[in-house]
Order: sequence, then structure tokens, then C-alpha cells
Amino acid sequence: MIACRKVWAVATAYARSVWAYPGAEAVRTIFLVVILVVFLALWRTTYSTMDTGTLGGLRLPQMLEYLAGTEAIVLSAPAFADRIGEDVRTGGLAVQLTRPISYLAFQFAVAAGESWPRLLLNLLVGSLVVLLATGSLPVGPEGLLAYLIAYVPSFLLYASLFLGLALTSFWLEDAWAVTFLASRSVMILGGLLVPLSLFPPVLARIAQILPLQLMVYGPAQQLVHPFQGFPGLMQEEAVWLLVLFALLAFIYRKGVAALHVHGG
Amino acid sequence: MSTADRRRFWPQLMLAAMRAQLAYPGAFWLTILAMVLNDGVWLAFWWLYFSRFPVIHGWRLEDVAALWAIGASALGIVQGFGGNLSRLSRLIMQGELDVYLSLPKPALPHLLLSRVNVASLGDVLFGTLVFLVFLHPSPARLLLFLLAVVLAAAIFLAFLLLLHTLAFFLGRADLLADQVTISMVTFSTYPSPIFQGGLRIVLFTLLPAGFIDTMPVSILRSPDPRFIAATVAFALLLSLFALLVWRQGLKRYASGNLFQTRL
Repeated sequence: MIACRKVWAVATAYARSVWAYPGAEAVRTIFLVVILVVFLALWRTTYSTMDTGTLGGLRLPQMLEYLAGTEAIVLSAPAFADRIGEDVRTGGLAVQLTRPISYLAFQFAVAAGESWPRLLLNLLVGSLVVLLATGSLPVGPEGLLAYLIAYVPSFLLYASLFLGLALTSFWLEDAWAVTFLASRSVMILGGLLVPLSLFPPVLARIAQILPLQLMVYGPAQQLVHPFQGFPGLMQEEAVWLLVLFALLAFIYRKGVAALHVHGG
Repeated sequence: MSTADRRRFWPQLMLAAMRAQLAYPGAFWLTILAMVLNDGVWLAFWWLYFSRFPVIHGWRLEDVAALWAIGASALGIVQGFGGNLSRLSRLIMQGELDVYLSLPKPALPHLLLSRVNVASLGDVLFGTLVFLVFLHPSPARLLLFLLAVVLAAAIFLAFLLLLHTLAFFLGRADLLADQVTISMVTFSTYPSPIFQGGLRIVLFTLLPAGFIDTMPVSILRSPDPRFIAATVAFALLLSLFALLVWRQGLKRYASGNLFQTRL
């Protein structure tokens, strides 16, 4: 219970720090607007070239809302590698490890505090772009609810994977390249840019096996097709969470044992 | 310093900046590899797209590959060898130009060339590889490719310089510069025919990505002398304007009173 209160306190402190600079957060959404304008141009042309109203089970406004949902997740994702790498290089980790809260719980709390407010802002801005660009908003309260519920385990999955990769800084000092490559895998196999329903069959099957699509495609699909295949999605997310939590704990144990803190 | 020494200064400066990065060869090559793979992921996205929709307004996968080859090479050269360009607004904001202004070399090229951005060198490698592997290289096509890269690099350099020099006038312009840079890069990497109406006008004026994303067709596939002439004229005008704004901005520059050394 005390541990939960500590996690909550850290998360809310970091969430407040995000809201403390609304101007900076607003500027961050410029890229989201730009990429959605580009996607609008690309997919509008594609729908008209193919002379069809539906692609991969999505109409144009739904396609854009799906992409707003995926971009909102990825653009609000935590940047573990920078923070942990910096702590390792400067020796600041010595202070982090002695905090009266588990190091991993602290990292999850920071990530949640920073990511969730940004997710809501990004989704709001993204949906506004869809509304202005297409004249309709293909998401209702049901879709929003399904998206947000599915996002909780998907955030934990994303955070577990990237925190685990960032912990390789304990050996490498800089995990930038490793996490960078993983983020690029999420871009393609997670369905960030193209929904899995439009993948060539073999690639779609590979993507379905991997947990990356649960981090992005799963929740974003809920936005446009609320509660469709929802129990299966939650079940799959729960299984992968167990796997990734176990791996994370293992990497952390090994990493702390191998760590040499310089200064602090 | 003799004339020959003066001439050798700039290559020596670039060499020193490169050597500084090569001090950690493992990290150097890993970063380059990561950037090549990053760009490769974008090409994979387009492969996915064109495997489902083979032609879009006359553009095929090969045209988008050419777009990436030109764009990545040009931006890579500008940000790779002008490694301080992406940090310029921060340097201005924090008053860190003193060290360059107090030395007898022109401040702008001196500060730009003093740092190598390794990740951007990965872009150059990627662009070159794509040209060699996918774009049927021949001496004539190589010349056209080089022309496109030089023009795109000039537009990127002038535009990014203009963007970062806003820091002289606005103070905190770094976040804005980062966002507009990524917007410019994003628009530069999508086929030009998908942008229509008012957006197309913006892409040939305020955010001049339109010149770059038209190059695969208007320079490489079927060279259009009018487009090439217009692009040369635009690149020259934009460069002159950027230099003018840089000079005006320098008059407003306030030192940060930081102690710095150039070793």
C-alpha cells in the first residue's frame, strides 16, 4: 500500500511537471499535426486512386483516427534510454538506487506521469485534426473508453520492453542504438504507419505473433472498432506482460550486479 | 599563417571534428548502422505501401527510393558535416557564440564545421547505397543525382539556418526549430503529387519541401530544365536571405559570459 502511494506520488509529480509548461507541450504537438496532414494527403489520394470507400476495413476518417491513435501512443512514449544512460554516465544512478522506492517502480511511475497527460493531449489534438480535415469524427465515447482501457496494459508492455532495453546501459553505458532499433521495429511491426489489416499476409502473421502490435495496433484498433476482439486482446496483453515483467526483473538483477558506479 | 595554410584550415577543421567522433569507433559505427537501418525502415514502409497500391499518381516504389536517396544524402551532408547546425539556436540562446566570434575565421562556417553529427553520416551512407543498389546508376544518372543532392542540400542548409537564427530575435526558439525541422523533413520524404491546393503553395514557399520531393521525377526520371532553373534560383535567394538574417541577428547577439576554449 505504501509502495503504491509512493508510485502515485512520483507519477503525479511528473505529470504536474508536464502540465507546468503548456506552451512547450503545445509546440510538441506540431509534429503530430504535420504527420496527420501528410497521412491525410497520402490516404486521401490512395482511397481515390483505388476508387474505394474502405481499405483494410477502415473508411478514410477511421483510417486517420486510427493513425491519430497510434501516433498519440508513440509520441507520448517514455524516453528511458536517455535518462538511464545519463544516470549511468554521470554516476547519478548512485543516488537513484538509494531512493526509498524500487528503482523499476520509480521508472514506471515517472514514465506514467509523463506519458499519460501527453497521450490525452495528443489524442485530443489528433482527433481535432481528423474532425477538421474530414468533417467527421469517427470515434465516440465507447471507442475512447476501449482505447484508454487497452492502453493501460499496452503502456506497461511498451514501458517494460524499453526499460529493459535501456537497462543495458548498465553494461554498455549508452543504450541509444538498441532502443532506437526497437522503436523502429515498433514503427513497422507495431502498425504505427500502416494497420496490420493492410500488411501482406506473411508479414501480418509475423507481426501478430510478436508483442509489438499489442503496444500500438491493439489499442488504436479499439478506437475505431470499439470492444471488437477486446477479451482476446486483454488476454494476450496479460500473457506478454508476465513474460516481459519476468525478463525485466532478470535484466535488472543482472545489471545491478554488473554495475560500477562512477562518482555520483 | 600562409595562404596555403589558410586554404587548408577548413578541411583540417573537418578532419579534426571527424577524428573527435572516431575516438569511440564502436559507438561511431553503431550509430551509423542504426541510422542506415532507421532509414531502411522507412523504405520498408514504402515497400509495404506499394506492395498493396503499386502506383500513386504516377509514382512507383523506385521514385520514392530516389526521393529517400536524395533527401537522406542532402540532409545527411548538411547536418553531418555541419554538426552544430541542429544545435545553433541553443548556442545562440545560451550565448555560446563568443568562442567563434572572437577568432579570426568567419564565425558561421567555423561553428558549423566544428562538429560532426555521426547519425547524419548514416543518412549519407544510406542515400548513397540506395542510389547504387536501386536506381540503376550510370555516369549521366550519377551527375543528375549529384545535382539533385547539391540543390536539396543548399535548400536544407539555408532553411535550417534561417530557422535557428530566429533565436536571435525570439530567444527560446530551439523547440520551434526542432519541430519545424522535422516537419520540413517529413514533407520532403513523401511523393509530391499527394499534396494539392493551398498546401502545395506552402510547400513551395514557407516550408520549401516541395522543391525536394519533386526532384526524383523532375531531375532524375525526366530532367526538366525549367524546374532545375527555378530550384537553383530559389536555393540562391533563400541562401542570401538566410545570410542576411544571420548578419542582422548577430547585431542583436548577447554574450553568455561563458568561459570556453577551442582546443
